[in-house]
Amino acid sequence: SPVPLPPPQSSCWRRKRAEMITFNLDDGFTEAVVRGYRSGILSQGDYSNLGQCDGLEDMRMHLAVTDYGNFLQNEPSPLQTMTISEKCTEKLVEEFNYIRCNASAELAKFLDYITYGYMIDNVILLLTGTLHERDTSELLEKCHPLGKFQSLATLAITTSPKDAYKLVLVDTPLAVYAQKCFTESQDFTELNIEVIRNTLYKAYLEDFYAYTQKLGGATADVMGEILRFEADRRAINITINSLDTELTKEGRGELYCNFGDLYPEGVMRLERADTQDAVRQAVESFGQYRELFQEDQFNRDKSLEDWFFEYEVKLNKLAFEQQFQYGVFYAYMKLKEQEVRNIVWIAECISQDQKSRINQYIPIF
Amino acid sequence: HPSPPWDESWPQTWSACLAGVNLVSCEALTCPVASHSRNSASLCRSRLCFQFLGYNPGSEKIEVLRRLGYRRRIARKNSDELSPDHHSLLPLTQATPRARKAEKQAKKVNNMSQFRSEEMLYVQMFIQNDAAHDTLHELGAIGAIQFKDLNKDKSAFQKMFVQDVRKCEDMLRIIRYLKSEMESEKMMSRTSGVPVPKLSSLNELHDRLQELEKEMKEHSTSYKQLLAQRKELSEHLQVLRNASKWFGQANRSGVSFTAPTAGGDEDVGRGAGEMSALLEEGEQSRRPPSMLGHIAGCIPTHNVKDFAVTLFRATRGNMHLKHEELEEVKGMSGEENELKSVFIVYFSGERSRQKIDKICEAFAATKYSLPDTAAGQERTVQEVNERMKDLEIVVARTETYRRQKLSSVVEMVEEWEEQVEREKGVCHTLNKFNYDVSMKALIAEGWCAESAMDDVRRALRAGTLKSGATVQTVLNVLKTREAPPTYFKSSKVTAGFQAIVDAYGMARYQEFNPAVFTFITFPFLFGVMFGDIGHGIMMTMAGGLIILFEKQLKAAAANDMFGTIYDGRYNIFMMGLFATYAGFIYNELFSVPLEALGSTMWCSGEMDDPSCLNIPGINASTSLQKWIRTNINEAYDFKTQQSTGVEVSWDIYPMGQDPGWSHTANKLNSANSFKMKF
Repeated sequence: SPVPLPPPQSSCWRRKRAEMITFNLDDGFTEAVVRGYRSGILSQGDYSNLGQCDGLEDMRMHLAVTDYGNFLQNEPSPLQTMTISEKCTEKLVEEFNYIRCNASAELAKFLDYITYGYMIDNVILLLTGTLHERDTSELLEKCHPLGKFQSLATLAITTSPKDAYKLVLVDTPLAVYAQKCFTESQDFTELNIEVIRNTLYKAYLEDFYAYTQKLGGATADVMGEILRFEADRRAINITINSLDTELTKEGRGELYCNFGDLYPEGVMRLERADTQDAVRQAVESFGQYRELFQEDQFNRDKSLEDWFFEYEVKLNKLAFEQQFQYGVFYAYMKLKEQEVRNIVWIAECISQDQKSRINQYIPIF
Repeated sequence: HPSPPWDESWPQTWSACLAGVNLVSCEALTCPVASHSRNSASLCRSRLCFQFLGYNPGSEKIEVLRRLGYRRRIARKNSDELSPDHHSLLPLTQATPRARKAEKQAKKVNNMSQFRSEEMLYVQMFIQNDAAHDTLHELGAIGAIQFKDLNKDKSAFQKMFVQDVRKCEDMLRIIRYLKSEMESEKMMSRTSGVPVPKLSSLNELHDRLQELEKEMKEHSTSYKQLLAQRKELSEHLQVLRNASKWFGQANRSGVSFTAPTAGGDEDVGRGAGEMSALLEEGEQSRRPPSMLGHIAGCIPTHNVKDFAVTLFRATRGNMHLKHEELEEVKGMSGEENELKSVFIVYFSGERSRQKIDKICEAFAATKYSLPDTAAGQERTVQEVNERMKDLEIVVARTETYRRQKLSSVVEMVEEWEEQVEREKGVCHTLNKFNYDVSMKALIAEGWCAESAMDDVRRALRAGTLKSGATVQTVLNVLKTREAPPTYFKSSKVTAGFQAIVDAYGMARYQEFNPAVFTFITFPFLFGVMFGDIGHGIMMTMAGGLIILFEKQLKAAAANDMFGTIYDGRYNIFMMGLFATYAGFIYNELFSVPLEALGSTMWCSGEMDDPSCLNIPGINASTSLQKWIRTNINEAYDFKTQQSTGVEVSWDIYPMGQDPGWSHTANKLNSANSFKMKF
């Protein structure tokens, strides 16, 4: 049974005070850089301008006057939505790598933790892709560049979790997480990949959470809140997605993280839930999630996913309110990712002539 | 006009003018010259003036013109000098005494123009749509107007000339592409002396560029395919060569690596040194040659390590990998060279083969066929060699074609780029303009120096003429409450100093311009600090040389490092001059005291300085009086301690600081304090 983590030590004032004095020794520059990047995030005005575009060429024109600059200047027209999203991600990765190169030891570790999430996504993408007999090179193209590692492509030749672990994952930073869940020697199936994904993620989140709490100070405060929400979101999603599947309740219970605002009572109730209604009841007593299902009923074009994204943006925005902590780096990556999603959404709406739905993006600043 | 056919009505006109009738009423008159009467009033107006001026103007006519308000160039006596361009007709307001006074004042300010920023006027222009482009090109050439953005609230893609901007950007993109292609062919885009045939319109250029791009792209893809094929072949050759070498080596040295086979027959545990022989044997005896399989190929060198590890894990150590880095292939142009390694894997079993195949794929390794027998290898080498030969010919031909294609435009690219950049600038400026109600004209607003107004008018006229538009551009001066921009006119000599001052802060409109003084004070203060004749002269020479070869060096000024020096050449020259001057004051040449104007009258004060000991009555070691070139011996009798009545002359060093200071212990203190107080 999962052992609950010790309570966060963020209230220790002494640690906080020392942090304020010494933070800039190592991380002042990188924090300043990331805050500078932050001010380049598209504003409400930019979005409304983008919304008025008549075509992707117009979007290119407008994005050229924002912080994105000439990032599309060497692309021949007509422009594709794919190109825009690729180039946006490329820019984000460039910024991330710049920060990573300038990071101090502790911060570098923190930033590496961020990339592990992308690695897990890539691993799962490759495994599912191979299961469906997709071409490896095509899958590699779809992988997030931050989560790529050398032997990623070799995953395509593995057939069972045990194999995959022994051949590939053992060399990667994911080995610690994979150790526990890549033990079966039976072949991959749709279901066990899904389970593996969630166990991997659970292990990763728990480790990341423990690490941020160990760092203490404002980082623990800010990251704690964001990661607890992340854990809750996963718990709710897992429950809803597994309601009518062959996954047993015990199996489901093993996928929940051992921290989070819902942990332990909410999680226990979620584990027992059989219907959507039961999920709602389990979650309802937690203030921040109360409106989650209520809103869902009244407002149909706003999905659960959108609500989560919106809440995530809110938390990440709050991260910038505190100085001398690593939360800004994580928050910036998440916000920028949301921005890329927004741009792609708007671009898709424009190119598919669905202008009425254009306003469903999630505004950031 | 040499002989104007004045008719009877003309004196009337004159007298009307003399009576102070406004120009507007004059316009209504038809031109007396028959051939001119077909034209519109404005044309006629200019002709009218022609005639006055052309007809060796007597004082009377000049008076008429003055009264009419044509103020320009009347005084010029020699009418032959006048080109039509200069007959600009500038209807002035009625020359009331008040206006005249204002003009006088303006002139006075103008005389002070070095000290004050230019007087600015807020101008508004109505430019006919058709003439807008050409007019802006002309205006851009003088660079005298700072346009105001009238479309600030519109986003970038809502502006009117956004299509043109986009087109320009597309053209620039293609030009960049062409340039990169040229670079890969090691062709330098250059401007030859031969003038580039001007393309009549940008649309034409755009079409041409697009065509070129399409052609180049198609050609590039096929070229790249060819290169890839050639690379593959050459890699294959390398693999074959290495493999035979390895086989041979193994044969000679008898290196033994176990090669476990699936069959478990007598080959197990045998040294691989015998392998090639064995395999040959195997073929001869019609045994299946797959007991010990091998896969050979090429792999990027940076992948080798992980490749080896993965192979080991996947086959549980049941394999042998041999690899060697390829030397970089020479003579392969037009492709990026990645370091590659040749590898060969020996393994046993069909399952391993499948696995290794997939691993190769995952690590971006290319496999090449490697026959089992030496004879087969020989054959393959020959085959590959032949194919290589054929391919070489095709590649060479394609390359020449490609080079031809590129060299046909290599000289034009720079010129095109400039044209397009210019056009883009024009479009960006046009985006700042408003349309008038009828959509037939553009309204532009901006600031213009009063002194440049004539140039602007000329440019406007030239633009209209060039475009063939029927309606002249109308230029109005508006009153506004906005603060005018500061515009200091500077020549190439003063520009450097102005830049230094501007770096500290811009003066407000019509505020005093400190740069004028800086022209002297800056080099002077530099000279005080730097003062040295030798170094100063060197500096002057450096600055002077750049100034002397100003035109030739202009191209080199694009370089960042040299550009700074080039822009400040006059600063350097002046600084050098002042440093030399100060050097004379300090009497220093290359940091060595210079006694050019006679030797110093000081002795150093050291005990062993014999010149000090020669002064009678003075204890050299203690006394402060250490000058020697003085007639004090005659002026003062040291024995009786009485003056002899002769006037004392101290023979002060004729110029500057006495070089004798440099021998003293407090040299630095005194010199520093002297410079500081300066």
